[in-house]
Amino acid sequence: MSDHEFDRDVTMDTLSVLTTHEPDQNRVARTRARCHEALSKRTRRSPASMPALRPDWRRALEPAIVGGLCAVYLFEVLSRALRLYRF
Amino acid sequence: MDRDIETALVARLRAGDPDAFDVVHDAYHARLYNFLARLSRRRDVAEDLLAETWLRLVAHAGRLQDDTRLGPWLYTVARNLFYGYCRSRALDDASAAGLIGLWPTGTPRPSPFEETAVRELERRVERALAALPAPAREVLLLVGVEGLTPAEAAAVCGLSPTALRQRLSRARAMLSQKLDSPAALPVAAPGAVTI
Repeated sequence: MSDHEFDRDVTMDTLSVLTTHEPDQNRVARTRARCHEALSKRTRRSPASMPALRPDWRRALEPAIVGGLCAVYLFEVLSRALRLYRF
Repeated sequence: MDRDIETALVARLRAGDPDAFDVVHDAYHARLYNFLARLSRRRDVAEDLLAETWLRLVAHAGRLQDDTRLGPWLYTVARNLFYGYCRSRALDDASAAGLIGLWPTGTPRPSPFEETAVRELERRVERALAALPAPAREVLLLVGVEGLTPAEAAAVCGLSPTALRQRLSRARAMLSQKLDSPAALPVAAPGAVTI
């Protein structure tokens, strides 16, 4: 017996007669409003945690500055090592 | 729900987008309500648990993974809330099955369930489902009504796929037995919750 046949037999098909009911619409609206409020609170509370909101120039500049400092540091280390080796 | 759309919705939920929440809410609120109402057999409890399920989604939205499947995630939360409710109320599922028909309707107005549940077969199926133990009821609802795959239903119930199949097979046999012997079904009293 295949998976499909296993899961869909006559007994399971009887469940298809069940109709879909709606919950109380006032309650649904209240819950939705509470959820919206909670979402907006969370967004206001942690703007720094959203990387998409960081400006583009800052995202581009940070790696350039860090890379430049690393290059200067490496250059200094190598030049000192060469001086020590020569003298 | 299409996988790409779902992935985009998860990303938007993580960012706190209320429109994304509305899309998910519209797609699942009726399905979750029916699942909870048939699992708990009480509309008022189902509405409480449904509201709590959505609040849990909002509270955890920032921690959703990229590959989160929203449907199974929501059913898992709803199911866990239901069992938490049962534990907190020390609800004895076996004895509660005999009490169908005695539950309060929760609202004074005419029930939409009584208004719409007019077909005899539907009533029989509703009553047969309600008479099953909760573990059997939940697998039938998840696979047979909500259309989850056995693998997804297994994840929701915290079972291995093999165990889920065994439970589903037993549940199906129990449902078939209940439907074949309607005399064994609890009789709903006038004004009773028939879902």
